[in-house]
Amino acid sequence: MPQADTRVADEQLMLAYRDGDAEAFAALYARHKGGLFRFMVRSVKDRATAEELFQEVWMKLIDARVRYLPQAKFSTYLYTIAHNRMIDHWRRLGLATVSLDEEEACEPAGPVSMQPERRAESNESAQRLLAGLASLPLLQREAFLLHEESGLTVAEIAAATGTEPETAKSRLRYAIAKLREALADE
Amino acid sequence: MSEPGKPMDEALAALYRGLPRDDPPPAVDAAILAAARASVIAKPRRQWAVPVSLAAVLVLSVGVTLRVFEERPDTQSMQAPAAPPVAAPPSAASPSEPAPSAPSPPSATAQYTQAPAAAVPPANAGPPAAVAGRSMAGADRAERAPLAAKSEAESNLASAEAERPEAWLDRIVTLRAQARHAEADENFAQFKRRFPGYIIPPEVLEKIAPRP
Repeated sequence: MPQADTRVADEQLMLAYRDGDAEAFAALYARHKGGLFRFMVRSVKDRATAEELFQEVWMKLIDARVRYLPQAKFSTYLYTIAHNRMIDHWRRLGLATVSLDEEEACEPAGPVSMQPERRAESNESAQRLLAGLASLPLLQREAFLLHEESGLTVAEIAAATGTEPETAKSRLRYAIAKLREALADE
Repeated sequence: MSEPGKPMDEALAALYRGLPRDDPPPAVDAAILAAARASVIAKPRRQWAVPVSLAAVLVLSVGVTLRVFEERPDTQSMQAPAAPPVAAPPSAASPSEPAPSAPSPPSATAQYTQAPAAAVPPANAGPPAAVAGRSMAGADRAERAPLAAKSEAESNLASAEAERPEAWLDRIVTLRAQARHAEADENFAQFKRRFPGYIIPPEVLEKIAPRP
């Protein structure tokens, strides 16, 4: 999770980029590229698709830069774009995203042996965590990844995903509970 | 079920952060950063291109306008006299060859310049003021007949065809003044056929119109 620091705020960097400072964008990109990329990779699991979606999110942000207004945290703004792009992707695959909890659709995960992340993971707990994450319903997994990768609070997750805070909180709670069960399942 | 933020969640979060840190490939980084730079570079170019273009057009327009005014010829020189000088030498060209601003052929005009009617200007002295302002377009197009006339009237008619309409009208006025009405009528009819669209000034028409 990104840590708060004394660097120039993301919103200031985005404003500078909006006003023509390409270096500000480079700094912003360096801060958020890892979290957003992992959010994508662990959401869709297929790496090529994740790279494509990741690039599309940044391109949308670049296209919209002249209209940017700092009405929320930059990370909320960025992950709102990512969420919308992810929803489009799920809909194209015919996956339902409207239910709230255990009955939510779950994107079929590929075999464990086909996922490079898992092949490289030697720690058993980490493997269990990744397996549990892959088995989560879409919106619960999204809530967990938004919380862990972007550092969004429950209220910010709700804003980014266009839901009520209670709904976002519920999704996050279910996700954590299932991951804990996956870790405890010997 | 534990609430997010409790110690067990911290342990879960720590475990998650211990997972391999996957980053986008360098090619994707390069493509995104290039697009971001291109977007920034393209915008200022559009911002200054319009005002600079407008300024360039304005400067060019002003420059051309000033240049036109500076090089405009003197209006006096533009108003060339409609009639050649009276003392101009006779044209050496063949009578059948039109001379746009040259006087009428000497053989046809000599007799009229010697006419006793002092009120009527000589034919080769140019048209009267009322006629001089008229269009001269027909003058240059007037065909000139060869001087093969056998009679004086025929000669007059033939030379009249080679004249400018204003000079021809002057000559008809002279014929009237000399009481040579038959010739005047014939010239008048010939004039109307030659220049059907020519508007004869009323004061001239009063002098040359056929008598009832």
